[in-house]
Amino acid sequence: MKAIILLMLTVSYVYGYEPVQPVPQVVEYDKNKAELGKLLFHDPILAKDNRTSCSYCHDLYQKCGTDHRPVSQGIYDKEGKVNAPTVYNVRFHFRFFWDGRAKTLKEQILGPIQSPIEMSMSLNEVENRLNNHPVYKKKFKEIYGVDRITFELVADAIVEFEKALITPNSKFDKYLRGETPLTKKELEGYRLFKKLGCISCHNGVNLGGNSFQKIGVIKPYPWHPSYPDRYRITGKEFDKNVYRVPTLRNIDCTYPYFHDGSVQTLEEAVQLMAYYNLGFRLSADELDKIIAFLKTLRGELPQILKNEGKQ
Amino acid sequence: VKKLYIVIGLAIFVTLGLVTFNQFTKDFLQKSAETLDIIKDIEKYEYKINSDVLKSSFYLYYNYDELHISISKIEKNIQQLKSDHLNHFSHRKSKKILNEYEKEFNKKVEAIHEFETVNSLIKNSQIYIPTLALKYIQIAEKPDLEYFLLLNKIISSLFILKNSPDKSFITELYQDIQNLKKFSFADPQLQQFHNVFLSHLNVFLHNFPIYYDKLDYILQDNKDTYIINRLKETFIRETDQEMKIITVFSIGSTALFLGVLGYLAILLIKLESNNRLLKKLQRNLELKMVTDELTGLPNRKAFFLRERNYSQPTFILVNVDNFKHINDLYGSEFGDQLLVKLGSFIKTFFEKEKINAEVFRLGADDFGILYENLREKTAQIVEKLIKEIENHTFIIKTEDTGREIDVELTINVSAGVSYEKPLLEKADMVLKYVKKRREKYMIYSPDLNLAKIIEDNLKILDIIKYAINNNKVHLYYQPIFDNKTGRIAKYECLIRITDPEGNIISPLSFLPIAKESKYYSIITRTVIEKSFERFRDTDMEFSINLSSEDMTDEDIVSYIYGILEAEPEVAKRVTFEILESESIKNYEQIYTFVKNVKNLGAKIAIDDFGSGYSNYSHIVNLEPDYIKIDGSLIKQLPYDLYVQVIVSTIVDFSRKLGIRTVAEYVYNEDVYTMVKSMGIDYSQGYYLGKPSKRCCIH
Repeated sequence: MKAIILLMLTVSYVYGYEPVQPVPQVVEYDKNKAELGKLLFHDPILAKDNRTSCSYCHDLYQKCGTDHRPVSQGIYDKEGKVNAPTVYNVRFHFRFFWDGRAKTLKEQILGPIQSPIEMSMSLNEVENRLNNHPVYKKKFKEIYGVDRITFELVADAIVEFEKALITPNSKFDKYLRGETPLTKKELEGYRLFKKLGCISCHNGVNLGGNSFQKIGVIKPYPWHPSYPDRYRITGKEFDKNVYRVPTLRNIDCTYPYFHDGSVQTLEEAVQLMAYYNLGFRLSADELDKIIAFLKTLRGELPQILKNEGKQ
Repeated sequence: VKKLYIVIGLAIFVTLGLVTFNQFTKDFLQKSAETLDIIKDIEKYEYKINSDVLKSSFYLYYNYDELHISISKIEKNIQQLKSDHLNHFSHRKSKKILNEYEKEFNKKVEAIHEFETVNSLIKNSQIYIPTLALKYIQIAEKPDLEYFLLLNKIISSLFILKNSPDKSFITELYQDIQNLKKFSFADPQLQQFHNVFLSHLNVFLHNFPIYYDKLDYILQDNKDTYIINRLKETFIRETDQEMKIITVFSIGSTALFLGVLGYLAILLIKLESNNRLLKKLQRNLELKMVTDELTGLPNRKAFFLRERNYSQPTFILVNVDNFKHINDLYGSEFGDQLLVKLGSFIKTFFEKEKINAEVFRLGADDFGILYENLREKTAQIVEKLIKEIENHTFIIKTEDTGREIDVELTINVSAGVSYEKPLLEKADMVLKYVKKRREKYMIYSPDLNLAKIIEDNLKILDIIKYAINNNKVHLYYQPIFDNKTGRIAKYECLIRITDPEGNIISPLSFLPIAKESKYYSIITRTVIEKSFERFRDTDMEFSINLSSEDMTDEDIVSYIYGILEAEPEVAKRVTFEILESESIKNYEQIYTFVKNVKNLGAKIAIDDFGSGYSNYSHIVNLEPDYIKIDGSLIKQLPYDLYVQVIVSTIVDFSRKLGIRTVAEYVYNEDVYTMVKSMGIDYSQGYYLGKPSKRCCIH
């Protein structure tokens, strides 16, 4: 009878629909603008202290677009309040920041540049610095055909670079494309991922980043007014501890986890998610399988970073 | 022309307008099509969103990317419509609806975000609850069947509720949950399970109404699909309206274009025909300006234009002798006919001679002939020309008392020839000289004028001086016959001088020169003196010629008065023949003179009457005793009806005034007979008696 019920439930309700799409292998972007954006992304000229760059918190080469710190450090190593999300695959996100307040990448850039604890620059300062920089002046002239650099163009270049930051060809993507099989464990992990309902929030290309969801559905998750949740935007009680769902792409190397970086390991993060939103901790086997699956989400370096050696 | 420019300007303007308008129409249509595409695109994504929302509610899990891709597409389309496509004033209404739509769509997006959250919450539990239920079997050593069945009942209610979706089932679920809550377990593990299960159910109970409302709102209550439909309809309506305006405008502007074009064509045609007319007029005018109206020959102006083209010109200036007489006798219309005939005669002459000559009418009776070279033949050509003209009988049509008659006429001409410029001036000079000398023609040469004429004049003056000093001034006498008796009635005294060689010089040669000199009065005095001397001791009447210069010379006049007073016997027999001429300026002096001499017994005759200058009123005032009819009339009298008319008129009116008439130039019997038959009182002429040194023999 157990088997019948199990079969009934499985057949009826776990329907054969694929809720995750692979990262495209090639995406469109303006190469020249993106290269300029790459330069800007790594240049501390955009920060007050001339020491902090975008890449300071979004290390693309070693740290999968994060800084591996619980909360980010801005100029003069000032501590922030939130964990820096990865900049990889952001072009597939529907909103930006943990609270999803930015609708576009361009809007997003205004945040860290002007934030007093991140880069602490006025847009005028950025423009003045770059306009006094002969190389940037020349490059902007070449690419945008302007004599004077405006912040609008700076943001445009950085956005173009960010659009290029995709991590294709993960093992899971290859599996989705039918190129590589997953191991039994990984496959069972994926199945569990769906069966346990993780998939209801972590779906789409980025396995997340496309809806606002709550942590602490079953077991209450502690709340603090400083948390960067939807409540800060909407003021609705319901939105407390509601965040833009983080992506699970490259999740094994974007630690520490959660909005405050309070969770160091992936295992713990998965267990906490299960605890708060399902009510139970996972068994060692379940956890092992899910972790195995999550590790298949590690993609390749984007083309724009790979080319570097060749240039 | 100004009008034409305006119309051309207008045409260009209208054409440009039409081109711009066509471009505008093209752009408009293209843009309208694009806009409609965008609106339809929005509609398409709207349906996709609704279907995706429905799917995501139906499926246990769904890819929310699908929704966000559609949402961002619509957002992009809205921005495109707002920033560009619906900005035209004709789409005000559409734009308003678009704004309305955007507001509604944003509400929908917000609802979708909320839906995603509750949907995931519910699904999260929904997926997990069956797994969780199985967990009970795993945990419990001795499963409570009643509890397990209740769990399963709750699960089935849950799915019915979720998938109906019917809120009424929530009461049933609520009841079941209340029943489930009644259970409690001693085993802490089971109790924990029980609590978690209840929590999941609470998620359902708590979120399902929200989920239901959101779904309902997105799929049913939200008005965006309705608004986008309204936008589409409004836009189509607006576009149709605009199209109507465009069509009307298009027809109007095309009509205007054609109208302007047509008008332009008419103007151009008019202008062209005007131009043609003007050109024709101009050509005619030019032709007229250089053409003599009467003869059709090129005129004086043409001559001056043409003369430049000749490098070795020969220019002959031909003049009709006494043309004024002809005009006076026959009328100017007659004279004109003669000129026409003469012109064409000269032209024909040169054509016959095969000389490429141009013939001009240069003045009243002056004809010019211009040709290149042939100077060695000039004499031959000019002589032949003059001879042929003078031998030719011109037949002129005229009217006599209503009848058309032909008058035959011969004329004399003179010619001056020049090779040097200014051709006309020099030919004219030489022609004057020719006339004076009573020659037929002469060729101008620098020596001719300045040297020869002066030399000749001086020579004649010398002769005059010689004649006066050496008593070589003689009188010749020509008898004048009484036509009734056939006897000599009187003698006309004619002056002659003899040069040192003994040649007798005609007065025509020396009198003009003498008139210019101090010798003239001496000559007059000598004539009077000698004639009185000659006729003092006879009983013959005699006549003396006086010029107007004589009659206005005070010395001469008082001399005449003196001699007439001194010799009243002779004075009774003297007649003064006076020549009325243009040169008389002071008629009063002449009248006084005539009156005085008549009082002193002398008689007065008007000489050369009918020669052209005759003024009847003066003649009446002069009260002459005789009128001498001019030789040019008399010599033609038998042959020319007109002359007969004129002469008979003169005779008639003279008789009525008691003036006796004298015919001059009676050179043959025909003339003499005619003269007599017409009742002219006296005759004079070679036929009757030539001038002679001797007289008064009888």
